[in-house]
Amino acid sequence: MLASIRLVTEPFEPVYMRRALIAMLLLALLAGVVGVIVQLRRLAFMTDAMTHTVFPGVAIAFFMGRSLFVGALIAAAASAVILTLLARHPRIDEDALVAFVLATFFSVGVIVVSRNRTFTADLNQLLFGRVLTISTRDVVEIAIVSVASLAALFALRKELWLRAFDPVGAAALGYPTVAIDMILNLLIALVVVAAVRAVGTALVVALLTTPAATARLVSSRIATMMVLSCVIGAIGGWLGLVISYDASIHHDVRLAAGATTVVVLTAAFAIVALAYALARRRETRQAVVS
Amino acid sequence: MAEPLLHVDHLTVAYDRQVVVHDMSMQVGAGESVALIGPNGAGKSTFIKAVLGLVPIHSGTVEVLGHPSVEMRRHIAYVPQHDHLDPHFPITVQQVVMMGRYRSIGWFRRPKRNDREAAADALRQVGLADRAHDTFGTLSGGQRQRVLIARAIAQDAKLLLLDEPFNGVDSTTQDVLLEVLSSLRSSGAAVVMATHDLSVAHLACDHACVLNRHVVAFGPIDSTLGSDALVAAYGHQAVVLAEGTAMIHAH
Repeated sequence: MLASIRLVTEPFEPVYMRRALIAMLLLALLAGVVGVIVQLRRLAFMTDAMTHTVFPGVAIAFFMGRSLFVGALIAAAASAVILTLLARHPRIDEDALVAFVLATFFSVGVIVVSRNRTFTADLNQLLFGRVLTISTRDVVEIAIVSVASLAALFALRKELWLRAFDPVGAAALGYPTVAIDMILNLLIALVVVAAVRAVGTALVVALLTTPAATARLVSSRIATMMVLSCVIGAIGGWLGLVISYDASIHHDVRLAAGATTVVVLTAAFAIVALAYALARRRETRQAVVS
Repeated sequence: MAEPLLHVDHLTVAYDRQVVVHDMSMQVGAGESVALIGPNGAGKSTFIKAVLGLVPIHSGTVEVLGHPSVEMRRHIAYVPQHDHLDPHFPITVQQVVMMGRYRSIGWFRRPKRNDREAAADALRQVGLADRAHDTFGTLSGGQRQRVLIARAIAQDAKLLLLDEPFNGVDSTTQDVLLEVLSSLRSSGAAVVMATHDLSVAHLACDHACVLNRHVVAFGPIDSTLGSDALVAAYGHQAVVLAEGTAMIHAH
């Protein structure tokens, strides 16, 4: 008993671990809510693309000596605008568009980076995040992004549901669907940029898709899905930190906290999916018997 | 004559280098109901989308109560075919019906008591009050169509545009739809519905517009749905039965 309490409290004695935990919990809350919308709008691929389109922004900002956060934000916002506007074209396939924008932005980043060698260390951070070295300032920025994004989503929830459920109906009622899409895509870009610093571009998409997909397995109510998705994300973030800390301190095995979190989230999805399938089978059998 | 509720004047719609609706004119008064009859690709859906401003109008005008129809969209209820909506979307029946109130609720606001009452009342009218809290996708096709009609009722629209509302629905739903449409008309709404089904067109509508990229015939339903107009619109798909009447081959 005492040992298990120690497992909960001990990893968070160092202040950097506490900052990491706060950042992960904030991101779980934000990604949990946004992830449900991403899922309902089938925007997972676009979200994944945005984790790559931030790259040239970060690279250029690095060489200009400006804030990487702002650089990433500008690049992600630019790709969100391009994706929103071109997706309206009836002859442009949306998947192809996303792939093409992703590749183009990424190649610009590669060209910029290939001209200078000093970038590699930061590139590593960009790819895999640095949740354990996150600063108080970073945490504050993530908190501000979270509050602003959640407030915007809450204010627009009616219109977002209608647009997701019945796009033609939304347009028929006179709603500016391009503007609604633009706001949502820019918000997703903002969330991606906020989360990249903690978990890296390679893993952001997992935070935004896995908890929501797990919640969807067990619920058909949007509000319930959002709560579940946040809770799953929070547990995953906490467990990821605890496991990686325990492994490195007590077993001398270095586990990246962000990547461990993603593995925990995927495991949660697998367990819930399996439990759900078994429960369904039992219910079906009982229905046949009675 | 009072100002027509829907006034279509020399409407031409063209996109993708094709003329889809050519030089269409039509007037629908309050309380009237028009069946849009025509083969696939005749421009029925395109016409409805043109009224809603969802496809670009090449020339001509569409007015609702004397204003361009796109400015009057909150007074126009569009009822899609139920199978055009994702049955797996996590949404309750009540939430779907409430969407009909969104324009009158306004941006950033939440539904008030009168909105909830209007939604509940609309669901009662289509006989689905007891399914309010069920997930939309768990309902049968006919019931889903009734939910979409309830959404239109909740919108309290002046003009209803329905796309094949009777397609593949059960007889209960057909009866409920006919009853609801007739009560909406007696309260002063106008109805335009695209349909393949000549018998429900006769039951639900007093006017018919036979369409095949242009208006083949328009007028009171009994005199308009004659064999000449149907043969002109459908060609060999129309089978002339007796003097002046015809039926359409199922597709």
